[in-house]
Amino acid sequence: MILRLTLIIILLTLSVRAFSQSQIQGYVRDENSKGIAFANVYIENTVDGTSTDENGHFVLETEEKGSVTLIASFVGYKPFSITSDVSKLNNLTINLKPDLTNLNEVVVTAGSFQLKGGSNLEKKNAIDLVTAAGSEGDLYKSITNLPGAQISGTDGKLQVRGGSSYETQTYIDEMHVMSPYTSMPANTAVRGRHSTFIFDAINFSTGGFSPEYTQSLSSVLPLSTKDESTITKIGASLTSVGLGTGGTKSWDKGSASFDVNYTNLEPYTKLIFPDEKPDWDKYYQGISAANQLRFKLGDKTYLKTYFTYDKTLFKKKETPAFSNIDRKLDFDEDNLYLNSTFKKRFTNGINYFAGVAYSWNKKNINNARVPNDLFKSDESELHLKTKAEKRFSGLYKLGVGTEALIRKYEMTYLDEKSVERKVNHNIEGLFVSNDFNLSDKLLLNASSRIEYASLDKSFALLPRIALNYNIKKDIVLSAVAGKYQQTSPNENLIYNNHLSQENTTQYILSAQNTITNYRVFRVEVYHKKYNKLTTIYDDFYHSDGHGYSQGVDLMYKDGFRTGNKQSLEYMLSYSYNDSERKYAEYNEKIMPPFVTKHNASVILRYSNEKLKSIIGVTNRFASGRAYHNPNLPGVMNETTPAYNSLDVSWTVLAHKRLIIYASASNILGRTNIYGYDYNPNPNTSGRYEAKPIKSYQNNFFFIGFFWTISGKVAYDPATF
Amino acid sequence: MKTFKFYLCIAILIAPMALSAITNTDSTYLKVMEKTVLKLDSAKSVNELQTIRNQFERISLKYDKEWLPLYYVAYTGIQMVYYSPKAENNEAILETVKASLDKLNSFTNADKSEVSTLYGYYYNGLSMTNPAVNGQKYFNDVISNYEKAIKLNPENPRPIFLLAFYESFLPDFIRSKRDFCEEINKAKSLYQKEQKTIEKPHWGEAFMIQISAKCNK
Repeated sequence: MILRLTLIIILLTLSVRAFSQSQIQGYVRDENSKGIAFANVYIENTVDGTSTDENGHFVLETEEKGSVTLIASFVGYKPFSITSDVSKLNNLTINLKPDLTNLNEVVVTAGSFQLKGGSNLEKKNAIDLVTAAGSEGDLYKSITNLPGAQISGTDGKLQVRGGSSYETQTYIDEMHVMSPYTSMPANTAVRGRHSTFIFDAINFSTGGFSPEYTQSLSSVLPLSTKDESTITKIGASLTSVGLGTGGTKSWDKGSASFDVNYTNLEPYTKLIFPDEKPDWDKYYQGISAANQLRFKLGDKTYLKTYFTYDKTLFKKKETPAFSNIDRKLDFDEDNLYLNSTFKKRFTNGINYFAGVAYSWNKKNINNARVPNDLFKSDESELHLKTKAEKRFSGLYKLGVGTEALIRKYEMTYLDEKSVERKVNHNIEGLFVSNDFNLSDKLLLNASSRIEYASLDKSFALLPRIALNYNIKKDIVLSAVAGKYQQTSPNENLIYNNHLSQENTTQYILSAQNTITNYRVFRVEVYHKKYNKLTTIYDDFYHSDGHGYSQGVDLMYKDGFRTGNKQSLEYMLSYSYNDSERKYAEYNEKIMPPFVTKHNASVILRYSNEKLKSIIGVTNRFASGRAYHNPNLPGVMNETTPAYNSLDVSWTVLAHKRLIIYASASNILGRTNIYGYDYNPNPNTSGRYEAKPIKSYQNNFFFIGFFWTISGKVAYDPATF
Repeated sequence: MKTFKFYLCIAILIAPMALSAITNTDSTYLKVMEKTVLKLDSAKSVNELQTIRNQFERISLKYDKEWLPLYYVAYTGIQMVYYSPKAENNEAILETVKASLDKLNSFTNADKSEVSTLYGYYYNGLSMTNPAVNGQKYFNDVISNYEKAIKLNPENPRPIFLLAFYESFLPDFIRSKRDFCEEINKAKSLYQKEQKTIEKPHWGEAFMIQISAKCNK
């Protein structure tokens, strides 16, 4: 009996095993109902699974019983799952949906250059940017070689498409930078405060930019630092104008970087321009320190904090154009910038960003305008911003955000009398951006910003519409129209702190042909209409100025091999600008003195691996600037001579831990004139005498040695 | 007595089934890993690699305490990019590879030298998808990860020959002083010493032999 029972149990067990395999079959298809080949189909928590064939068909065998979860997945698609009794899972048709977080985002090309960090247009790293001849190792100077950027006058700041330098604003990690330039003596070109090498992405917009960026009438320069720095390194630099050191310590979940630089123009000035010695009581000196902390808090979650501080000191003799009274301008400046940003990509596809930035600048200038006077200023800005965006489908992406700018400015001028002024105001904005991928060739962006300005208690609606059409893979047409506004500078607000927001409406049409990775041709036409510009008359400041700026920008760049391990890259750019505006003390429309009608540049870059060298030559030309000659009738009735500067540079990749860079600007020694100062009093013949406004130094010579002291890196002068 | 004998028979019947239920988990893992690694060693196309990758993915999801299946998910992804550098979905594949590599860092029992090697291989793969842009961008990441892998385990042949191979494409003045053929020979002798088990990665020898052809002339 027992033996019989045992035999039955054994037979039953064997038969259960024989018949325990189940088969699940079906198809996996994409959003167009086309079969997905080699998709992964499996039972959760088991190794039972299979791959689909070329038609998306699968047959899966499993010994699992009862309720199971079947999952289908493929790269670029959201996983699909279904839970059911295994016997009911058959003849399935599984439709996978695209994972939109991985969708390649199209960028509107009109009015924009992606200089680093992307695959459009300028495929360069920081070394390429700052070692172009004429850049003198400075980001802003290297950008003046691009079409649309105008060769600036004596102050060296970036001017774009007929706009003043104030109309171009800088952003770091999407947060505004109040004071991006160093301070220099009169008629000496400024430099950017932040090293180019710390930025992972450099974008430059000549207009028509997203309404996410505000308080700029012409152009924005969005710069992004690295989210991660995975290599621990230390570096140092020694240049003709100073020295520096810095480094990065990297760990699993983050990194910390620092950079310290000391600039002193005394050795350089004494060596190259010994005649200037009597001008200086204290040669220009500056010390700067920068630090960044980066934390990776999770998958696609980053927290970064970036801090810089710099101090500038100099004491220089200034002699007004038509005065015998010298003064020793004694300059002392502190500048601080702190920004902290958080960004996260959620699994539901929402990209979230929050940031806070604080800028502070304080100046103390003795003998600022006349001997024994004192000028003090204290300026600060707090910028708060948050935004979120999500792609809902292949067709539509939505972005929304809000921000506030809280600004304070105080100035004191002590002479025979004391003058004190304060301006405190804030700007709040709400922006919305709608991206429509109407087809794989056509992108439409409709966005808008509502902004409140406390100065004149006004609300403004600032819409923007942009269209990007890929005629073919390498030919893109773009069109942008948008409205922008900007608060008048502090030097106007201290006299009237109810001035209206200056505004502009811009229209841009662009065509770009990317023939090869190196050969690109681009043409853009634009028209900007200005309103509510600040004017000065009847001893008061008003907001009734207006004007326009229009023109065309052309760019052609190419590169080719000239021999074994040698290559030549070149870029030709030309800009034509026609501008007139009624503004400041001009009570009729005039061509502003900072505008040049024609701008052209030729940039050559020759690389030779045998010589381990990159040699650069840049030739820049600009037509003359308008100025007012009181000896003649009319307003802005004369033009300065044309501008020209031939610059050269040589970069030697001496060793993978040592880069040597040398440059010389304006090697032909041309004296470029940016305008004229006229004696307010006529001479005995009744003529007003003039003195040319020119740069304090005609040329600039630079040599720098950049070492990587430790760290597994090569040809990487960045300490960040 | 009869009742006792009955229950004893039942126990004898059930015991092997229960025992096999316990040991089957480990043997299933070993069996399926052995089968899949064997297939990987002979894979010759992107489609084959994708199928094998799917299998490793299933294994890594089931046996989520084991580092090797996840390692091979990352490795097969990079190999797919190498086989077809211009494929449209390479960016998406490499994103998943990076996610796998970052997750591997949290495995305390993972072979750190092999993980660093794979990071270097990944950055090299990124460079291949767009040499003009990514070549310079990831240059330091490729070299530093291979060098770190060698430092962690000087007996690991993979980073040695991969680094030599990568450097052979660089301009003369950027290369290190390492001699390509010397490094290949070093890797060759390390491969010969290496035990080919499924418990550790052992890929790369066939590729190394292929690129070492010029050293045999």
